[in-house]
Amino acid sequence: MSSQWGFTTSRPTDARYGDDVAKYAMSHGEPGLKTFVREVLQNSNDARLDNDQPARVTFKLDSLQDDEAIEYLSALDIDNWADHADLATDTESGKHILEAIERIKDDEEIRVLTIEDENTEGLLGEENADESNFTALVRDVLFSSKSGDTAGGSYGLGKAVLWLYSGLSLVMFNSTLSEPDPKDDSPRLIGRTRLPTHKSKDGDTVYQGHGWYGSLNGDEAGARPESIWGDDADGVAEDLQLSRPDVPGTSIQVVDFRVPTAEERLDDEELADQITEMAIEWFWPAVYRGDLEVAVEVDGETKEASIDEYPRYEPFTSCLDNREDSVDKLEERGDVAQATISLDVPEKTGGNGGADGELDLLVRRAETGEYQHQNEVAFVRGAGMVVEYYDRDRVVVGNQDFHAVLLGGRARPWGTNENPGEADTTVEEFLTAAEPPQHDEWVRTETLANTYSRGFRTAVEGIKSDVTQRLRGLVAPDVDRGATGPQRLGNRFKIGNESREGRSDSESPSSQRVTGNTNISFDEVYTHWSFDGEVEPSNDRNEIRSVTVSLVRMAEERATSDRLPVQNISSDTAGVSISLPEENGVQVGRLEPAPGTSEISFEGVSKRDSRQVETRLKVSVDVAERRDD
Amino acid sequence: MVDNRFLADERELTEDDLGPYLQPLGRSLDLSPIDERIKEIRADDEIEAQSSLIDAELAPTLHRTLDLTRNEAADTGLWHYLCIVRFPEFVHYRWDHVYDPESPGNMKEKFLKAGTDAYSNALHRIWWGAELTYEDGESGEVEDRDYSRTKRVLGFQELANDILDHNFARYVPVTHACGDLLCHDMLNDIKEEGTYDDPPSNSNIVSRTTTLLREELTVRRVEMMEEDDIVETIEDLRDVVMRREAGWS
Repeated sequence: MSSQWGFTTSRPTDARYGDDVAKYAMSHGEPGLKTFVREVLQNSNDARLDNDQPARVTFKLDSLQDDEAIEYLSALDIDNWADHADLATDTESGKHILEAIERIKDDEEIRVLTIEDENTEGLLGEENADESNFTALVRDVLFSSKSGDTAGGSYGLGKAVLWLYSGLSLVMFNSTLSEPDPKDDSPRLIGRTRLPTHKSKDGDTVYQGHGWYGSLNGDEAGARPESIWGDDADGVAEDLQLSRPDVPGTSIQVVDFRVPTAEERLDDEELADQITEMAIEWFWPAVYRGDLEVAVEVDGETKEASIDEYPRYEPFTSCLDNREDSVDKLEERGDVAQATISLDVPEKTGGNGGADGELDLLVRRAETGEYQHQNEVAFVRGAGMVVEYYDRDRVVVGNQDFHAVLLGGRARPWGTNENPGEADTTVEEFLTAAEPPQHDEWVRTETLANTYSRGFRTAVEGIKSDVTQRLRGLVAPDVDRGATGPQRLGNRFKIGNESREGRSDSESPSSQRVTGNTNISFDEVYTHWSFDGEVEPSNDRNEIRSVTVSLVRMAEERATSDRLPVQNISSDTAGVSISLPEENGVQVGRLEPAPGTSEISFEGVSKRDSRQVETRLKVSVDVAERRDD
Repeated sequence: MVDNRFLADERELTEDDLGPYLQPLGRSLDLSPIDERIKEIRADDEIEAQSSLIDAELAPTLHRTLDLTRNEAADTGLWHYLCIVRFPEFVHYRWDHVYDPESPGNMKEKFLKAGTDAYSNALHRIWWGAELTYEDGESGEVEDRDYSRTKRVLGFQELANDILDHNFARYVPVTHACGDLLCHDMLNDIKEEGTYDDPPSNSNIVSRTTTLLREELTVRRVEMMEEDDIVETIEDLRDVVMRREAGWS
């Protein structure tokens, strides 16, 4: 049996692809090495077998030269592939591929990165199954078949990085399946390239651009090569330096590995260091819990990614280590305190689901010298990946420095003997749906909007402000500890612990007479700012008389006196009269509630803003003692 | 020690008074050219006391004579010494109008502030104003430096305030572009061309354009901008301001 490339044909009237859509989507944002390492490890981490063993991922970097390179390329049937690549050079991505080919010829060297994982599911599934690991990783675009709704990746977009980081847009797979295939024996080998749509030399045949490396069964026109199995696959794998141990998992080979945005080509050692560090930076929770092992192999030497090697992440693992000994007040360096953040998951559109969920915040007072990632909160859910480091530097003026971990979903009870409950699973699903394709934050996504009923937005957008508020309570400087001045003065100005939660009693300064939340964000579609908020008096004896909302332009160092006009403003609160008066010649939003109103919510938009410079929401509230009527 | 009597010019502080607090700079500088230049400025009938022209006229001599590294210039003690002990009469001549015995802070900072605040201490601000605006001559020698931009900036109080008192001034390409594009000569030339029907006053143009620039820099990192880009950005903002489309508030 011979292994060769085959390209799917399409009709001349079909859509043409200048490049792969998913690849394009993933290349936006941050196509440094970070995206690659995060996506690759997430794939393996999600496919971990349900046993006590960790998923093990080894990155193997090889630069093939001279005869070795020639033999490798010939095993790859590169001539046949190159015939197609040559026909696809009238697009931007086609040109880049041509440049890569030239570079390989000039350098007489090709860099190959093989990612070998063990104790994972492998490429299960029939060649043409509707939904399987195989079709999701190798065949389909924008389909994901990851188990359940809570895997790290849930878009099927992440795998596009594999092709994005291959200069030739060419990736090979060799997999040992965790469940025996009914027809064939492991391993299973197949290759995949994603070229732009191109025509044959005579112009008669249009190739859609998707190419497959495998065995061609029969002579059917337009049929695509399929997986090679068993001993045949072993033989080809050896020629392609893609042999793998006989344990379940997948080896993925990125041919002509490169970092798309790198100005200079990093040498293998540097690359290895960056990969191990990023593995720890983004997956320390999975590594710490023994669910994931990562190593990099260069020139036959293996380097394990360990938390010991990167002690800057130890303050975060210490939060988990010392959770059971947590304290109420962060008095000593190294102390860990915890707080709970509630997350009301709304029902799904169909009416099921929904829960009064909770996330746990662990905060550890920094030891001397622990500067890196200081005052950051690592957001983690059950997948064991850090979704985001939320920077909360100077959350309060003069705050104690800290490191914090926010544990959500199935990760919530980590560090205790508790097991995740039903509500935790509901939260896990919700947070997964709140991650955009890059899985790097929890925000309002289309998936959320399509899956959940009203209230999802408040729930997801409230997480950060709740974290901030809880942090303030824990890390604010303790002004009561020292001498507090004359008692009489102390009574008049209640500063310190009582007001730390952002709520205070009636004798506090006017700036603290109300509490609430506000949000403002730029809407790229309408090129205006959208804002919303809710305010209420801190004290039940008070009511809100009026709320004035203005939009303040920021400058490099501080706010300016420039204002952006408010276009309109509305309120859900009953009985509120709304107006748009001018203040200093600029339109602002004003809400005047009916007597007795204690809580008021609003949302609105700015006039069109072509400058799009930083703009903040200023909310001025008149509060007075409640009128008896 | 720097009390109201000192600020009101009713008593002096000498090197002996401050002896215990003085530290040597480590090299000696001949300050007599500065004395000479101050004398000339005070004798000049066209320069009034307390005018910003004083800064413009003193800047080249002060900067050439105090040929300091930026590191040395960041030492606040040096400027405190120069203002309090060596040139207090100059500080009074330039700034006596800001002295208010009820709130002496404004006058005090003319003697005492310095360091990272580039625009307060009477001499420190002139030195930094020059440092951020001069142009090296071909020879690279101190004598060959071109201070014409320095004089344009420091001679136009609004421009000096709006540039030197803000963070972007620390990046020389911006300081230079603002000095060139927003000085009186340039603005008057543009007004004479008659492109704009009803342009605002030069001071307003400077104040608005630099405010818009500071707003712009909330979303752009100035050190990442090419010099052409900086010039174009400032020209565009100036154009908006001169057309009075900038949202005055």
